[in-house]
Amino acid sequence: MDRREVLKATSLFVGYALTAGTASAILNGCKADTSTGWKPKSFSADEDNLMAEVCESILPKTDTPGAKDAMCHRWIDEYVSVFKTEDEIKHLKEGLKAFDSHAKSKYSKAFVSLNPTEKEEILAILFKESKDYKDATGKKPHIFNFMRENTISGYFTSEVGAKGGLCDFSPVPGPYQGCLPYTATSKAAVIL
Amino acid sequence: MYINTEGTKEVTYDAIVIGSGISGGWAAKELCEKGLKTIVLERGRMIKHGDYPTANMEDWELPNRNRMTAEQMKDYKIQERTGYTMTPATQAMWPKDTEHPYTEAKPFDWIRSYQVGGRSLLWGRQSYRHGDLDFEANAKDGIAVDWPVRYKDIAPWYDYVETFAGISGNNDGLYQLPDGKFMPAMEFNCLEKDVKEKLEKKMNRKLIMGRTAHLTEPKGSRGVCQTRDRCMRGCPFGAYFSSNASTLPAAEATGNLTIRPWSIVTDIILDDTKKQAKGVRIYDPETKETKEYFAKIIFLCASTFGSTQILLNSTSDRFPTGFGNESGELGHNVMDHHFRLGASGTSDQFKDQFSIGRRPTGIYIPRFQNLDAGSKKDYLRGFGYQGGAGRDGWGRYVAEIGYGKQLKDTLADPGDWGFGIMAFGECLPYHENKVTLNKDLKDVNGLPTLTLDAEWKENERLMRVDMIDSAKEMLEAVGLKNVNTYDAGCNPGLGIHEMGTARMGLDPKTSVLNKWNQIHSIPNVYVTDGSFMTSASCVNPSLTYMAFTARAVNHAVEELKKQNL
Repeated sequence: MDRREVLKATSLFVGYALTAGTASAILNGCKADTSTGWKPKSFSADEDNLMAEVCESILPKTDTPGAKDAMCHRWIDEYVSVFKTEDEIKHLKEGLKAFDSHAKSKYSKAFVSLNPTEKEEILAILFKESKDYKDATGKKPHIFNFMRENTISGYFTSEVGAKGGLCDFSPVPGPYQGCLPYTATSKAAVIL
Repeated sequence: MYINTEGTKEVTYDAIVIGSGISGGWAAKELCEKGLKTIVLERGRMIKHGDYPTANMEDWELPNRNRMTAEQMKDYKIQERTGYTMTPATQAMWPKDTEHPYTEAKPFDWIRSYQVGGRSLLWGRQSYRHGDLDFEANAKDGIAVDWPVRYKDIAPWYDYVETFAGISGNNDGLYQLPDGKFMPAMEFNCLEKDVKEKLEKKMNRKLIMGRTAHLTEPKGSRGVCQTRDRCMRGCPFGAYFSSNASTLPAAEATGNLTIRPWSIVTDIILDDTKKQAKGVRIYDPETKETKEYFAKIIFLCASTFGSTQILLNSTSDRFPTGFGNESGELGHNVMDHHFRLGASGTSDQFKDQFSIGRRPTGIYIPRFQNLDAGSKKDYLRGFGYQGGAGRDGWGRYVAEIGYGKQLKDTLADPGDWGFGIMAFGECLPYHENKVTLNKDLKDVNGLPTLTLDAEWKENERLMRVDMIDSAKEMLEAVGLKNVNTYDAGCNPGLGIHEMGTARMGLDPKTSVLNKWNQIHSIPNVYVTDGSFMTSASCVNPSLTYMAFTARAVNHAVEELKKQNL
């Protein structure tokens, strides 16, 4: 059992020893730069544009902010630049090509030029593909899994995402209430 | 608190307390409240209550979203072994392993903290009494030495420290886990209630709310726990017990307290009669100076290995192998709790129920093995489980939905209920599990270091089999689904409950301390951190250090009055 597995096995349940918050801090998180002059460190401008569209397709803007609002693509670039090796980044860049190659063979367009429904079609292909993918070393994830996991964690650990109303951001919950009815208007808590 | 920038007159006090963690804070409070001018010598920096710079920071306000880079982690290769302690939000609370090395004769995870408040800022806060099941254990099993105290001796002191510290929990009427003076317990959630009922009905096993040093009612200037789950950054509400929020302010309020940070005690100084200690020598890592402080009584509360190191380093012609070490037991009988194994499962029930807050405690399943003839096992002693139930959050893997609005809608709801338990087991005191002084390897201050040489043995290995099997059996018996067991393994030390290296006992030939925590041959030195523990029990030990410390101070002050010290 590696450390990540240990965290998964224990984080939910032993709240005071290995908290969900601690686990998310270890497993996720990297800061997004929101300035206008920002440039990606590990990816090209084209790759960055592509990632922005992929992130937005994973968590699109609805009545709550989307992944672009939360700048998940910038977060992914920052995260990768600090925590991934050159080899791992190369693997991700290779993986990103799949979005365009599927887009071209199905619609003869680049992924970024597709409409939202077409983008979802491409994601559906890659989501299906990812389910059969084996990542023995844990260092070369399927691109869909990588993008989804980091879009979600980037979203909820960003201020825009955490406070955007999708889930209940509650830095000071007050005394613990163990059993409450869960209604149609209830929301899951954002745990940081 | 004021920092003593002393002249020569100011180096003599009524009492010296070495260390400011849970034990040192209590010693300081009790000594000061009894009117003794007291200096607390703390090896690390000052942290005043409220001086917790990351306490209110969100992930996006912390470097790399509160994640340590490989480069930053290079200095913390041992402190990171817990998997949960090292984050940018808590980095300042841990010493650099590169500056404070030690030698692992066998793998040993020594998780330390050098600052005012010590590990009282970082502890797990689970607070349980030891009962006669624990105090009689060595005598009944015929191993190591007998505790020189019984539950009746220490029970009033548990009452006393619980009342001041603020422990939330229920009185559950269990022999193996004595009741106490508690604030209202935190709530169970739906699944925990369900598991509790079924476990008690089907297996006659108890499941109780974890007793924890968090306030559920206000206490003086300390506020009620807000279930933020950021305890290790320091609590601005003072809602959990720490020296910084609790004992040190009480000590300070008497006007009798001096705290001197950056004071690494190197050794204890014998007086000319060689029957008493007259003071201590410190090294100040800021000024690089050596100084001496003098007092009538000395409380050694520098943490189990910290205190042992000071004693081992205090050699003289009277004590060639370490201060008060006539028995040869100083540094021996290292204990910790072994853990990181258990089981988890899921439930289809209560989909219309949820909970609010990040509760800083969980459920506890008290020891049920080796309580009587009916629960006799092929190993000695026992274990308890800590755990709890909850619903998954946004971090869960959603297998069925990959992306889009549907994914957002799914993540807006909590996931399934899960329930998990982790066992914490007693380890036996083995003479050969030991710490020794290593003069060949020096730390950043040029001071000798420790060599840690301890391992789990057959009794712990046998117990671990039962810890897994019993967890699985219980979770299946209460009808949980997808029950999985795990054993993540652990080196000694990882429980962060080091104990036993200056044990108390009846006989000076086989123990270092007497029943009042005094060094047998030097009665004006009291040792009241985990090093006094004669056996480990399976419950978290800090509450026991508090009780023994308060009791020892009371004894010391009475002895002073009688002019016995």
